[in-house]
Amino acid sequence: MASPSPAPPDNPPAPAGAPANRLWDWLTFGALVVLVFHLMGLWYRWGRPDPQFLGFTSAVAGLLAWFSLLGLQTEKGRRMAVRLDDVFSFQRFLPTAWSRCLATWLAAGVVALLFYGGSPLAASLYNRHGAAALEAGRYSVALRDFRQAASLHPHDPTTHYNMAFVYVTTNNYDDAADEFLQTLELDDTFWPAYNNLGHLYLLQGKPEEALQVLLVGQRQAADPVGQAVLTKNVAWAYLELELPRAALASLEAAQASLEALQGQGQSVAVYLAETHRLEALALAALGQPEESRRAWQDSLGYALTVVESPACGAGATRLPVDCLDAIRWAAEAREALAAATGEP
Amino acid sequence: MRAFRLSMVLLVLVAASCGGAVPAPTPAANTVLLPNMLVEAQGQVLLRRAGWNDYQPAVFGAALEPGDLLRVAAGGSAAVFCGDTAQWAENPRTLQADGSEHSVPCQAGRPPRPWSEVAALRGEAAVDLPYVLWPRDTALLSDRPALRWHPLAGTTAYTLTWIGDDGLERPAARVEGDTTAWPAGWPALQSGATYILVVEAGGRRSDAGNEEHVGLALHLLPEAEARQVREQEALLRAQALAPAALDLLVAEIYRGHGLRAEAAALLELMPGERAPAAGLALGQLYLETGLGTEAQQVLQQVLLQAGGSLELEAQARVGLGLALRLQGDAAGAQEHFASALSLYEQLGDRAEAAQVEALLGR
Repeated sequence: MASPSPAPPDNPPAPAGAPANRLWDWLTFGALVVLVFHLMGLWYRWGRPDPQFLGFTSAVAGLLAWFSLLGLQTEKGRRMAVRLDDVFSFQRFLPTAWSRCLATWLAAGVVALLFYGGSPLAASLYNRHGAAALEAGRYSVALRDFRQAASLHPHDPTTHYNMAFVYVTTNNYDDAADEFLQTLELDDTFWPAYNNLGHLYLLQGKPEEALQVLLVGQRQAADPVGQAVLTKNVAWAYLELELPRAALASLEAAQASLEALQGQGQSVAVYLAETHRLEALALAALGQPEESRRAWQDSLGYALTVVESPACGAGATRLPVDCLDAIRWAAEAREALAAATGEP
Repeated sequence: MRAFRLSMVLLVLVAASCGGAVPAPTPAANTVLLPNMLVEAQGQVLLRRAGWNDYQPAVFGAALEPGDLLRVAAGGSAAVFCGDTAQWAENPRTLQADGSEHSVPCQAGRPPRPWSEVAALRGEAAVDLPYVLWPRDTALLSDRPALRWHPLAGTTAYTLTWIGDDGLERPAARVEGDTTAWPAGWPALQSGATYILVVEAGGRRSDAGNEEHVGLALHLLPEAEARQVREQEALLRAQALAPAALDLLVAEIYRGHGLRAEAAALLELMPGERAPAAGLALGQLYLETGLGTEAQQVLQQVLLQAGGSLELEAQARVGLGLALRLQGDAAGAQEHFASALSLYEQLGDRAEAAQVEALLGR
């Protein structure tokens, strides 16, 4: 007895290459491109913070995308895609074209979320770890963390500023200057970058460059502390350029601002110590020894405020830069005062 | 979906580790920042403020700022109270008596009030009126304050009238003497209301002088702020400081909240001989409330106590000048201001000299 033939299905499957499936395939392909792009971005940002590597992988990804796109237009390519599909058994879990498309877009979305949302958060973590390492004096660790942070969030000026700071601390002035400049390219109102770049130029014996940067910084800085500190360093640049009168005029303005800030409860003693130190030098250059002596005493007062503070106390395992500067200025002031009074 | 869920969990963890830190406790908004103060000065203690030409003898109660230098000779002793609440745990800080210069061991602290904030624009000048001494132009912690007025010669009985906008009835009270506790029949003061005390004796009323009701209004400190004051005072009183230093600092807290009556009462009743710094603070309180005669008496005493302290003498003279100006004696005031200016110039204190020059109208 012949078995009855099966009834034809109500909705026969669409023949391969039907327009509806084609649309889903194209959309899936688009999602795959997005997914691969962001996966590579994640790999680059998290695993290989190297711009050359990024260029290489971007080119490879582009080539792969084009080859895949062109290959899918041929019968051979489509068969290969079907075989790949069989190997990974996507059909088993995602039997329809639209479900595969949706799943791919979801995966692309998750990766994109990690890429755009997760990277700045991770960068912030790396920045924190880097700052802690910097404070502990582990400069190589700090630099590695800041580099990773810069890779994760390349447009964050703070990260570049932090890297520059490590370079300054390790006397790598050229790289430090590059990072300060990059910081300013990303945020031209970030006053500490102007200030430290100017400071760096002064340390390198480039007062003209320093003055230029510091004067621009003065115009850009909105923060009153920034204004005062930049004005103080402008005075330093004038002094280096052997213009003590111009230096004194800037120092007067800086002192007035810093004293007002101190009156508001801000800790600016270290800046006041340096301001008075520069004042003493400018007055000595102008041949006013008595006024210079008074300025040295003022510098000593503020420097000792920093030196004798808990932050610079005996319990501190590593001395912050401010403490080291203040210790040096206190010694310099004592030396100058002893010389002025003829003490041994 | 599992990967998605895992990603979300990871993200939440990252976010929590980034933003989940417990914020550090911050001082309450109304906490008064106290000045750094020299709370002990025995033997030879010298002070050089930023800008001064040289060291000068330092006195108990001197307000100190970062940048000032102190020298304590061998055998002497000096201790500093740091006004910043973050540093209270380590107060008072004893300075080494080694003859070498030391900084003020404080990171912050309230700077001295400028004289322009001290001087009242109008004051009581008529000595033949029973003008109100306390409470006037003040906030109050107590809702039943003690009352005090200028005594008139040969007068023992006074009638007190309480003017207020709280809608409560306080009938005129007849009392003996120049001071009294809150009259028993009067309801307590209410928060949010404004009051004025008027004293009358033999047809002479306290509000008949040149000030009338100007600068006499008083009010009860809002409960939340009053609680803060009490808490800050309790914390301060727990510090290991001499009673005179504590009173001086508590008076600063009161003053910071506008509690002039209570601050003045504290300084007036300080046991033993009043330290010059306390006299100066009391004189300033009298000046703030327009009591020129009382300010003059206290500041004259400070002037006598100044000894070799040029700064103290200069401060007393500025205060005396303001007191005389309040009483209409412009020439006398100018004389004191000119003396103060000369002293500040001698010290090399440009900031204070500039203030005095402003008072001199230069």
